[in-house]
Parts: sequence; structure tokens; C-alpha cells
Amino acid sequence: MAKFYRKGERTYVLDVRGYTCPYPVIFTRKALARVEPGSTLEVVIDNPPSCETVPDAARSEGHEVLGVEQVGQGTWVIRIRKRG
Amino acid sequence: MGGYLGYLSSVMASALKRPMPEWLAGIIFGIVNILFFVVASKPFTIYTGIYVWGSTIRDAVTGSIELARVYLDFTSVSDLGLLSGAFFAALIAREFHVRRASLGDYAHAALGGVLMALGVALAWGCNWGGFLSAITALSLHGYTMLPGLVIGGYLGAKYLEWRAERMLREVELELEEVAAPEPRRAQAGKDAVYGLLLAAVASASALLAYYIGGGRLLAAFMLGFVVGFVIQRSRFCFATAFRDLLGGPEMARSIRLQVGIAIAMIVGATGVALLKYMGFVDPMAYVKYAGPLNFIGGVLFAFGMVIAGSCASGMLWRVGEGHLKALAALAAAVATYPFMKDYVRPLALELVGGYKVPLTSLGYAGALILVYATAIAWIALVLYIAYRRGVRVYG
Repeated sequence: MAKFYRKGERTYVLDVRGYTCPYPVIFTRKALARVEPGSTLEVVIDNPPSCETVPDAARSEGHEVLGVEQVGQGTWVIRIRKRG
Repeated sequence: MGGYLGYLSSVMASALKRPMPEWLAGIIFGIVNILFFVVASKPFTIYTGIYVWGSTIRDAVTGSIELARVYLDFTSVSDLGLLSGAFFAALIAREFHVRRASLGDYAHAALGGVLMALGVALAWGCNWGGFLSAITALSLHGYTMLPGLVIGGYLGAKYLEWRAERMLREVELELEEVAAPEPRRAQAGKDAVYGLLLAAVASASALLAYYIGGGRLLAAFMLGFVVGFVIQRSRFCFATAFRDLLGGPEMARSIRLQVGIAIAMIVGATGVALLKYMGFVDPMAYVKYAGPLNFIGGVLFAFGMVIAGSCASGMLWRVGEGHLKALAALAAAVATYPFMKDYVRPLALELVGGYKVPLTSLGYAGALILVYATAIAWIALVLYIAYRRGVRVYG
């Protein structure tokens, strides 16, 4: 099950490990809609294609992609700042 | 991992950081299809191998154990090659990892696997054997499956949207601060066990294909390996290609994939036409029944692959990458496809009928012009869909 929680001041984590396309993109869009403008969303994924599709989807909606970082074997964190 | 091995691993990972473009994958798939014809007098397909695996298990259960069969069939061996190539690509790109899924996802994968098996039985192939490789082999049945794939993919997308909405209602934002979960140590051990198992399957398959089947079987393994490597690096997912074609969460990628598929047909059909024309292979090689069944099969297959999360080549790729969900889809397909092929297909053919129509009825030049024209028209059409939707396809 996907997890969505607050990590700190204006920083949220969406953990969608275990999900493949298209769920990471769908969940990221919905999560971005629920956090306040200017805050950071960290999407944790383990589905390789989502390394490209999640940033693409965020950029196409005008959000800023701060980076895609590999944090472990086959696991990545994508940091997105919601547009202000 | 330290030392020289660690250095090598980081060099590989940065070299493979960007995925391979879909059009380049398309060119490679086209070439593989030509070479597969040279090796096996048939194009690159998937499900005949699934049939061999399923029927070998079925026969073993009923008392006749003939494991060598697995290494004597071109498609079975190239399927093992695909799985191995994807595993190898994921490993060197540091993307290999054992991924578990929810019970609901396993159930969807298994149901999708059964629907795909049924669809393949009716359409005479999956995205490869019923569509891409069918058109490459100059058989009409590739065209009759296409509308079914588009419709099935669209219906699957609608279903996924509905399911995602329902799942999201259960995902509540937890307002209290929660510490980030630590990666579990046990995971590395699981990765290693699963990885060693796949490495053993890969190397044993290559060796056995050679010792049992000979050089041509080894060549089929290598071609499968290339397809698996390229599929993993280019994320060549046919499920995405048909799921998000008419607007969806990954529409730009779906358009790029469709362009890649059309390029694969142009390249592959050119070579296959030449091979057939020169008499190197029978002009009727891989010409299968075309008719309403391909359309119905296409709808079922595409819906199945979308809810399973991967098509035929996609599930082998993802098994190689470590997705246990893909393993569930594969197991369901292996368990049910022999029945679908042996019983459902002949019955459906008798009830509905179909004709083996080679595109070369138009002559070799005519067949090639038809393939080129439809592939270019298809590229123009999918780009038009993207244009109308305001989707930037390439970056």
C-alpha cells in the first residue's frame, strides 16, 4: 500500500515502492495536489521507468524537479517542489 | 562494493543513466526480427516459448518428463535469453531489486496473465507474434489485431483509472511527523538469492541451448538476450504504448513507443521481404489466420496486459528485473496457455473462421509499400493525437 506522510516542515514523502506504471505517476499527481504550494514532495520509487515518467509528469504540470537520486539497489527518491 | 569492482559498477551505472531512446530500440528489434528469420525461419515471438514451458510442466505432471524440449525450441530459448538479457541490463545499471507487490496486485497480474493467454490463442500471438512480428513477417493477421489492441488498451486504462481512484481514497495523509523507513538489511540477502537464481538460469540456458540444441539455438538465445537488454534499457513497454495512447498518465512515452514499433516494422519487413523473395525462407512462413478472432484476441490481450502491468515480453523483462508481480503474471500464463492453444484456439477457429493471407498477395513491392505506408501513416497519426493534446513527445 502506498504511504503518504509529512517528514518535516513543508516536506512530504510519498512512498510508492512496489508499484509499477502507471500508479507512481497517478499517485504523484494526486499527492502534489494535496500539499501546499512551495513545499517539497519526495517520491520513493523502485520501478526504473518511473525515474523518467514521474519527473516528466511533474514538469509537464509546471512543478520543479529538484533531482532524482538513487538511494539503494533499484530504489530512487525523486524530489519535486510544488509550483508556488 | 569497493575497489576496482566498485569503480566498474559506478562507470556502468553512469554510462547507463539515460535510458535508450525508443526509436533506436525499434531499429534493433527490426534487425533482430530479420536475424531470427535467418536462424529459425520465423520472427521473434514470445508465446510459443510459454507454450513449451507450460506443456512441458503439464506432461511432467502426467508422467512424461522431457525437460530437453525447453532447449530445443527456438522461442523457448529466446524467451530465456530475453529474461537473461533484462536481468543482466538491470544488474549492471544497478536497477535489479526484488520487488514485492500487494495481494490485489498479484491477483490482477494473474488475471491479466490468463486474459493474455486467451488473447494470444485467438489472435495468433502477443504484441510480437500477433502484431509487430506478424506485420514484419508480411502476414495480414498483424493488421487485424491492431484495432483490438487500441480498444483493449483504452478499456484497460479506464479500469486502472477507476482502481487508482479507489486506492487513493484509502491513502490518507498522515499529518504527524514520521521517521523515514530504514531500508531493511534482509532485502540485500533476498536480492542476492533471487539474483543468483536468475544468473544460474541464464548461464544454464545458454549452455544447455548450445549442448542440446546446437549453434542455431544458441543464436536464438543471443537474439533474445539482445531484445531483453534493449527492452530493459529503453523501457520498451507495449502495455504503456497501448494504455496511454489516447491520453493517459504517460502519454508522451506511449507515443514514442508507437513510433519505435512502426520503425521496427519498417526495418524488419524490408529484410524479411528480401529473405522471402530470395527463397531463403518460405513465402508463407509465419503467415497465420486473419479474421475477427485477431480483433477479439487483441482486445482481451491488451486489457489483460494493462491490468497485469506488463505484456508478454514485458513480464519476462520484469521477472529479470526482480518484480514478483510479473512472476505472478508469467506463472498464470504458463499454467493456462497450453489449454488455450490446444483447446480454445481450434474451437474458436472452427466457429469464427479465418484466412491465411500473406501481404505478398500484392507482390513483394506491393507488400513493402503497404508496410511502409501504414507504418508512416501510423507515426503521423499518433503524432497528430499528441499534437491535438498538446503533448511534447520528445523532451
